Amino acid sequence: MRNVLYVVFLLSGVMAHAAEKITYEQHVRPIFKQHCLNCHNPDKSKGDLDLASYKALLTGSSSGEVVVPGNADASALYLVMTHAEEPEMPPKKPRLPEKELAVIKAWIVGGVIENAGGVAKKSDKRAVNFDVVASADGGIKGVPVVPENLPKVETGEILRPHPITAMATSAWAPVAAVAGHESILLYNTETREELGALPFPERIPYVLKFSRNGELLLAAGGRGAHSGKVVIFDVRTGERKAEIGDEFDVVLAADISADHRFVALGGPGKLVKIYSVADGRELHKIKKHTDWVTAMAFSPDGTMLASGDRSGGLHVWDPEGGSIIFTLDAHKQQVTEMAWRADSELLVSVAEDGKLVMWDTIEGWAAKTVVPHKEGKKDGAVLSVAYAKDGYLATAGRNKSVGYLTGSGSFKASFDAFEDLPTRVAFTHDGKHVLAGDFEGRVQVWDPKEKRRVGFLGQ
Amino acid sequence: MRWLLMIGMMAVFAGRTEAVKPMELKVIPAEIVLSGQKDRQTIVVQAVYEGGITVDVTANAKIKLANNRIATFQDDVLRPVADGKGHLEASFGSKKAKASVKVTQSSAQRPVSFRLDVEPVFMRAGCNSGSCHGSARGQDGFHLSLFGYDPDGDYWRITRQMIGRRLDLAVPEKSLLLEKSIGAVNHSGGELFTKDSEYYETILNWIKAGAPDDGDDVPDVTGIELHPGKLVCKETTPPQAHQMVVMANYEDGSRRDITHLAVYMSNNEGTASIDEDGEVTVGQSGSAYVFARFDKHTVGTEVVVLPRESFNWPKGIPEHNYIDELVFDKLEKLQIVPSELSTDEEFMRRVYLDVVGLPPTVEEYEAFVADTSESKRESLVMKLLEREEFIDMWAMKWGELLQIVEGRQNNNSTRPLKAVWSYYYYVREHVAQNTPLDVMVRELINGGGSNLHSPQSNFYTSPEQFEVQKMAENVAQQFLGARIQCAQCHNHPFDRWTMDDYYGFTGFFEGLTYKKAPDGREVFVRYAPGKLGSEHPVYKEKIPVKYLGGETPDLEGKDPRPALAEWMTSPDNELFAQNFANRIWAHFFGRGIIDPVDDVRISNPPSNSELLAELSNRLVQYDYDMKKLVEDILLSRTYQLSSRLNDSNRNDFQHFSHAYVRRLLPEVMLDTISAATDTEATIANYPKGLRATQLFQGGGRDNFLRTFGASTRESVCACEVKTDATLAQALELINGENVERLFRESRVIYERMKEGVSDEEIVEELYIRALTRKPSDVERKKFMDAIVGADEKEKKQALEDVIWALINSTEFGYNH
Repeated sequence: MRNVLYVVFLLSGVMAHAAEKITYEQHVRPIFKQHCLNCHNPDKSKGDLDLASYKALLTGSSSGEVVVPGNADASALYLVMTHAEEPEMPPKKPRLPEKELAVIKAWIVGGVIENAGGVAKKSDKRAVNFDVVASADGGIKGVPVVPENLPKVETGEILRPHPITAMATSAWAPVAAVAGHESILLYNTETREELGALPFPERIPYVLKFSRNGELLLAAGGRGAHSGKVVIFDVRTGERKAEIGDEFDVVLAADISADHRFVALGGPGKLVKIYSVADGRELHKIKKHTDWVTAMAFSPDGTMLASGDRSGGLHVWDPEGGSIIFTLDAHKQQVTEMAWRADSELLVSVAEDGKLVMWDTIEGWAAKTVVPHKEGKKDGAVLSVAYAKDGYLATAGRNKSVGYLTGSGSFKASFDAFEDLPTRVAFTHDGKHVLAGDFEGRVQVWDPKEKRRVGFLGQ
Repeated sequence: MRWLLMIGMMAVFAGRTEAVKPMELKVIPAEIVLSGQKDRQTIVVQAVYEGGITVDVTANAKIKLANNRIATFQDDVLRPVADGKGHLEASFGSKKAKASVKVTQSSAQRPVSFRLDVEPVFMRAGCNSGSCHGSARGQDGFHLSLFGYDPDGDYWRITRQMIGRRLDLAVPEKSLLLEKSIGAVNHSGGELFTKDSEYYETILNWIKAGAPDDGDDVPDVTGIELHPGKLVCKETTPPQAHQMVVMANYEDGSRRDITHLAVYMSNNEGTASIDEDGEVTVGQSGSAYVFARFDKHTVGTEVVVLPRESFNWPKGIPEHNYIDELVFDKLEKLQIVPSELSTDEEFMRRVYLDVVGLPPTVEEYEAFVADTSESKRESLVMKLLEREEFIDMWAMKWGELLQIVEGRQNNNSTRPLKAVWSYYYYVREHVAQNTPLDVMVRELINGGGSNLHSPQSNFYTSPEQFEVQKMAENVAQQFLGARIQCAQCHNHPFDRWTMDDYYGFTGFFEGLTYKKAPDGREVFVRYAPGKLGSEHPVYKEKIPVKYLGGETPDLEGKDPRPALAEWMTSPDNELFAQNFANRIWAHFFGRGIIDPVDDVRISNPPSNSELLAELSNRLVQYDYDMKKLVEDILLSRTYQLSSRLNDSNRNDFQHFSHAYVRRLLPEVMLDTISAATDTEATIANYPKGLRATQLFQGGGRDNFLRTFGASTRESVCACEVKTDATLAQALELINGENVERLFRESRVIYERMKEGVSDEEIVEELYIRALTRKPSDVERKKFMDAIVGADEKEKKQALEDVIWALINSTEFGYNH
């Protein structure tokens, strides 16, 4: 196929105007010659990459293609040259002058044209529409369940609140669940009043998730180096519907599928375990992660389960058969949280390496990468991410701010009223407010459009 | 426990003399300041007996506080009660001793500090050691900086990395950090301390306070002290014990007892072990160092253990010079009697092999044995020092130190063969001129220009790809004997080098630039002054250049190397003279006074510090004329001692009480075989006729020499030259191709037989050639039995077997 295109370029060459085009032969190769060809030539080809000819360049390196025509941010060549990704090139040296990097970028964006006679190539990747707002319900009909008459919970005395380790909101009702001391506190997000609490004697909840239709609440966690499990509560009555898993350390990541058939969990054991909710049976035990499993999310349509680990590993599974669909390679450090867009076509992952990556889950590639929380020159780590129904995103960063981003990842507003870390973010069911849990154990309610704090949950 | 031992101790003393009375009593420390409610001071009462013998008598002494309102004394620890001044009085036997006591701020409770209180617990309990969470990748998902070199990072990892996991701020007792430490939940490291320990309490109180970070005002530890200094003990049953006290000094002038927080170790457990509470237990006689480590500081003190038997230093052992004075002084303290003087033959072989790397010829042997003058050893030494081979020997030694070897191909090396040549002859010329060592080193450090035409520039060219860090590490190891590599990633665990020292020192070499000439082999070494200073990986910023263990000079915008060269070789930099004195000494004794010679660190102290200090002194006084120092060494009785052992020095391998039997250097081995057989060896990559000590880039590529441990000059480490005996060496000598050829080519036996020399005389000559001695009666008889009655051909075969047997003997392969 590519050869055919190549021939076409050559044929059409005569008609093209050379002047405005950025081409490999005229503009890009001279830069390579000066900085890169010493190592990336046909004789040496470090990393199996040869940049000395157009054809060899398009063949890519040992890790695959290095340019995605039209998309510099998805092109490994550009990312390593701008030191956005490792291995930074040229090695152990500063980046090339900005002017030269701009040429490389323009060349990629312009369709990696070979020479004066060449024409622009198109990426064989599909175009991802970041602007289309997915249907709000993701195909699930929700029920606005609100807790009623929750029984009183007695927990022991505490010195001070624990940092907010987990938080979730119902997609259908003004209800938020927040991790407390050996308990889960439920709030009405409109009145910001406490609705009651659910006991969690297992110790610390690290995961809270409402099921897609808002009827069930999943809580997972436990006692470090001792025990961990998943508990499913009925949101209306607070009743414990199921207890799943019997881990020897806490559960750090878990989710329940939209149809309530599956629960998946993971933690320091490095395994992804998928259970049947109906009878608590372990269906799959997947050994693939090389580090603690720290983030997990079922796609809204229930066909995929994404799991991320402490070293940045990220895999997408078929929960039914337990087989792998994609391995998504971008993060270098701990994946802290993941969220799916309601149409199941985009998965967003955030990590300690500072990146927020939007994955196209139709074809399995990084459609977009942004760094929402810069700390000076450094990429500040991202601790949490949430999708609103309208496709907007909220993030919490180690730079002590909460971000509000459009569906395509452009930064709209930041909320900086934190003395210590914001730890978890969530949108209220109507998408109007962002809830931000913090290290001091408070949950601040923020209006991102008005850019002001509305108040605190429970205060 | 300690008082039980004490009773034993008393019994020993009582047994010997009816009433051994201490000559002096000491309270340690003599000045006690308790500041703040939680402060404490460990107290030791020490009695000093005749001969400087130190005994911990804390348990048996009467200890009372003159003003008991201000403090309490329990379990050997003084704790504050109320502000005031007073003193503590100890009495033992008829002796009394006092220590002043001052208590201030007795009601003030200092908040628990992460750096001052919590971090030391991690080191004390072993959490941040290299085999646990201090490993580069951490352990079981939790990483602490090795020995706490990065407290900021440790604070972050504990409190913020995995939010909610390690600390429970709501219910501190439920923190994973604590539950793991006491083994309440699964912990690969097991139970490290108990719930009622003060370590648990410290961490718990810190979490209860909200696990706060320290402000900027936390003072740094400027140094630690290990009291009461040197211990002199007697080997006893049951073994004697002595408590140590460790004090830390902080930059704000405060001082604190950290005996309960320090980590302890010993370099010789058999002689003195030290437990986790800082109590030394004495073992068999000898000398040992015990060390205490806290924060980034390590200090040590010597423990001398004397044998049970009474001892009298033999009168009238002659001392040739200051070396003998200092060596014998130490031996007397250790109650070790030196061996007698070596025989002329032993001395002759030793000094020849050491100085010129060859055995004496038959004529030289005969002349020396026949010489009856008093000063014949002295004359021999003077003669040998003027020989050409002495120059070869030291050109080779410095060639190994300076890694004079060609670069490997395909690695962008700046060291082509031509450059190696010029470098070698440059160094050899310096040895020939007997250039002062400091002058040569200054020239090297200031080296620059063409690698082919300006030989000293090759100090900065390298057989490997040039790396700034490697360069700095090499300079430290070559000229200061210090291995600073550890400090690249963390503060050195057993020495004083910190990452600040490391990156302060690498900064001197950042500006080196290399420009290739069109020739391809020629490289110009230059210095770009603008690049001064290295980036510190923890601070993420450039730090000022700093002399290793020295000052921070302002050299901005300059080539810093002239200043570095001056500092390096100045008398203030004690490590420099010490390094060369020690390296020279090691050549003649087979081990350094600090050993290995390039592993100088606090936890590897000199076996005789006075001796090393004096040798360094002399080297400086002699204006770094190494020949003069060599002369002192060779003329000392210490060098000339026999290798035959006596009962008291049988176990000594570091105090030079006898000649240590050591393997011949690989090059000397080959040259000695050639000399004994009167042949010329073939050495890979060199023309015939060269001796193995004359090879301009060493014999590391020759099969025979490599088998015998010749340096490949791959690093500057003294360990590149290996002198262990191996099976491969034995096989090489028995029937190796090289040696076989030398035997075949040797005409000694053939010539002698032709000349009509008697069989017995030929055997005698072979003995002299190989072993620098005549055969004993038994040996003579054995060999003659095999020869007598044989025909000419068999006789020649038998005589060839004699030389083969001699070269394969242990006596041949070792200098003794």
